[in-house]
Amino acid sequence: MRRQLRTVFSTVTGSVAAVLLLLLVLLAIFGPIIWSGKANAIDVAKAWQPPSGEHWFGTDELGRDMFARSLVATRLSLLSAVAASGIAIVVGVPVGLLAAMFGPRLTSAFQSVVNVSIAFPALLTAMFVGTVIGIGVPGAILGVGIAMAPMFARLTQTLTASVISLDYVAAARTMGVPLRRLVGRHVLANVAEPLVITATTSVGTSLLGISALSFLGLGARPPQYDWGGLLSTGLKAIYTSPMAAIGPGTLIALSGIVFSLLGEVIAGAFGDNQSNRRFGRVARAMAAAARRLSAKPASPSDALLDVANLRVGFPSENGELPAVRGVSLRVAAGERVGIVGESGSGKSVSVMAIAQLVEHPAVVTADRLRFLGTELSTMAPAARRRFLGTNLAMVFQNPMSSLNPAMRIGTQLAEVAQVHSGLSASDARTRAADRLAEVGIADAGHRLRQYPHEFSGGMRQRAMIAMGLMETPRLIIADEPTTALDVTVQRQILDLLLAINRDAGAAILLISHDISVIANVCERVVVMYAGVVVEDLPVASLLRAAAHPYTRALIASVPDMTTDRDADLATIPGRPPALDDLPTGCPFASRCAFATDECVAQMPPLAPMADGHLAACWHPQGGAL
Amino acid sequence: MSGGLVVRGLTVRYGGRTVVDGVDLDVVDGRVLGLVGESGSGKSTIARAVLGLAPVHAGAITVGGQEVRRLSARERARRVQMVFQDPFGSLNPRMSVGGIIREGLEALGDLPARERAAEVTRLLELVSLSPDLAQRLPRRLSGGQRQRVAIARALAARPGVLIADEITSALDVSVQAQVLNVLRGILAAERFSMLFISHNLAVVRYISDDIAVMRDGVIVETGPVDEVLAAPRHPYTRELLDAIPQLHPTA
Repeated sequence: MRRQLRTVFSTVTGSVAAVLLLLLVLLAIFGPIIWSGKANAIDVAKAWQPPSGEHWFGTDELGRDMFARSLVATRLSLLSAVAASGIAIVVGVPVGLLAAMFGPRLTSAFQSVVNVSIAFPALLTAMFVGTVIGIGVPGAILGVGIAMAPMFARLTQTLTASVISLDYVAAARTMGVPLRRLVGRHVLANVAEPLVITATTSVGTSLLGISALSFLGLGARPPQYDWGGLLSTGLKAIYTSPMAAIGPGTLIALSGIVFSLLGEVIAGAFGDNQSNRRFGRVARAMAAAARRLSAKPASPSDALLDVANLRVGFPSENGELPAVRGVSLRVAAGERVGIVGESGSGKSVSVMAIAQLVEHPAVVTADRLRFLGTELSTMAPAARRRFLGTNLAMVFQNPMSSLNPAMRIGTQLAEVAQVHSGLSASDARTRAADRLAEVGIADAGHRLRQYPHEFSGGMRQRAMIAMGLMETPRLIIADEPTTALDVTVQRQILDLLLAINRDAGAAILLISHDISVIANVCERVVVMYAGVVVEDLPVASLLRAAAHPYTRALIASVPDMTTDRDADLATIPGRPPALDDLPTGCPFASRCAFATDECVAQMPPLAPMADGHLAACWHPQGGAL
Repeated sequence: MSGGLVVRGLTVRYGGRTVVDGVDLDVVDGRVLGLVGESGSGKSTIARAVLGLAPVHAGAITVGGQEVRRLSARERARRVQMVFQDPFGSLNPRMSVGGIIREGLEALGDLPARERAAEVTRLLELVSLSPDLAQRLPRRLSGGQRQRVAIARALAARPGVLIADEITSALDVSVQAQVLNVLRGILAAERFSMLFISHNLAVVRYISDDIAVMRDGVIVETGPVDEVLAAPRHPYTRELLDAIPQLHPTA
């Protein structure tokens, strides 16, 4: 934190705020010591003098120097403002904490009280409290403090409510951690950042509030004076000696700005927490990316989908992060191909790029990106959209995010056919009902009139598939279509995909982290790791002849219904390389039991192992698993 | 302190909705009961009820013969601990790994302060993590490492019963295997019983001695894992078994 503050204070805003704050603090400390004498020296003969070399802000009705008085007033003005904010925090934060931590009934009672008090003008509250307590500095401080407390209470309550539902708070509770510590360590520590920021800016607000009260004669009263009081004095001579009012007014405004700036600077420091950390890795990542070897492009053919050397990079402040690094992939008409890989392997990004769904600023390049014999990368965007819209269907993991929640299912389905096939509204509706029935949704006519939220998860996924079937797709890309579903529903959706493949002849490209899901649906499996294809083989040879150590480890590490319960599961030590720190050689080398110097030095090419079986490994393994 | 978990006639209602309906469960001392079911079946609610985090409408929950709802928070913590699903949400991002585990020791307070550092080291080694990790913040750990920290924290209380709620479902498969192996190792080394909740039948089968199948707030079938899976009696258990995608052909 200290280091971040130092970096932030080296920015322009940061240094301006720091210098001004230092100036204010010094003034508050030394102002009264240095200028008290001058500020209180009465000389009635010099009353209401305009500004001059001797009196910069002129003089007041007793001939006292307004500039000296303004400087001396810094201490009282700032102290009152800080005190008022302190009161607001001391009252507001515990109230907010209590309301969030003790049950829904208290929370709703609290909310109504706070909402009313926030709606009530703060200055009126302050005036009311000040009048009740007694006019003077303590009354003004307490008034402004109490007027601002509801804001802190509400902020604390909302922040706490969001933290308290997190598992680590539940974990601490089950551990029997005492309440005091639960609040301190687990709640307050994690809501502190926004609170500190608000507290800082609130000092500025308090200053304005107290100045306003003093200006109205409800705050500091003679012989005490703060900026608001001076402003009120100066205003009496605004036509003859404007500086007497402008001087203190400027100081009020300036201090308000300082505290706002300071809040912003602190917010910046908190926000910057992690973003700058990876700075040093830029050069290394870029150099490594440049050295990377690409997989050999497969020979062109009449495949339905033919992708060669696909690369996807995401620009970051540390240079381009290579998420996909030379993927080549072919899918024949009617074929069922699966891509398996763990998180970060690049499997989803690859198919999104194929479907032209990766957008700027990501950079997609490929030697060949051919679908139905047409090169996609050179097509005009509008024509490409139309071409893909009729021939390619996408199914995503979360259908709720791909269905419009505000539109009826029927309208969304019909729209596809209206746009792509130019069908009339009623024909499109008929087709939509047919497709819904085809994907196994009963009472399709009624279901068409429903909204996505009225569908269960499995039904939404069916509706998504039905939407894909509104045209006659040659390829269905399904990206983790069953990951969010229960196992029985997963079975139904996988069966549905198989049935569509069988009956409509559409090829399937299924992406999953679960190799057994792919083994149940596909004929061929492509294994991805760290943005490259490491193995490509028929599902039938998976258990018999998987050659890449990663593929073998992936299979061995997943328990299934035949796993020996008395033996440890196979594990893969370590973790996948980070995108900004990719090795030169085989990305799996650091976790591989068979790795040699060769593996570390050079990336193995994707080479044939057997008929229809490719693996990128210098030391391919053999034997059944 | 050991002692199994016994749940009798547990009913949990949220508003007017009955989420858990008259459930009986026996986590036998020293054994692992796998609780399997689909989303919304009420499995996690049972765990939360045992820990006092869900409103119990009716029923009894005893650990080592004592009704948990009559125990103080500290007494309950000594008997039951839990590991949560999300390894990213269950560790306080502002506390070091060592601090997180030490907090469990402090909360129970029966270990002298000077022995706590050694116990933190022992717990980290128990979950196959290097004691050097104690200084790190959770964000510098992988998902699997975090989940092992969460296990170490739970074991700090030396509970008689450990509840594991979907602890591997947020992890990649290779990492899941690490966590399962660690858990098996601990089960062999330390004496406690465990309620292992998961939607993944294969994982439940691998780790559990007994199994309970749950649907719509009700336990539909329960018994030793081998018996239930070899000869499921309830149609829903059979449906679950048939739905599992298989990599290896079943013998």
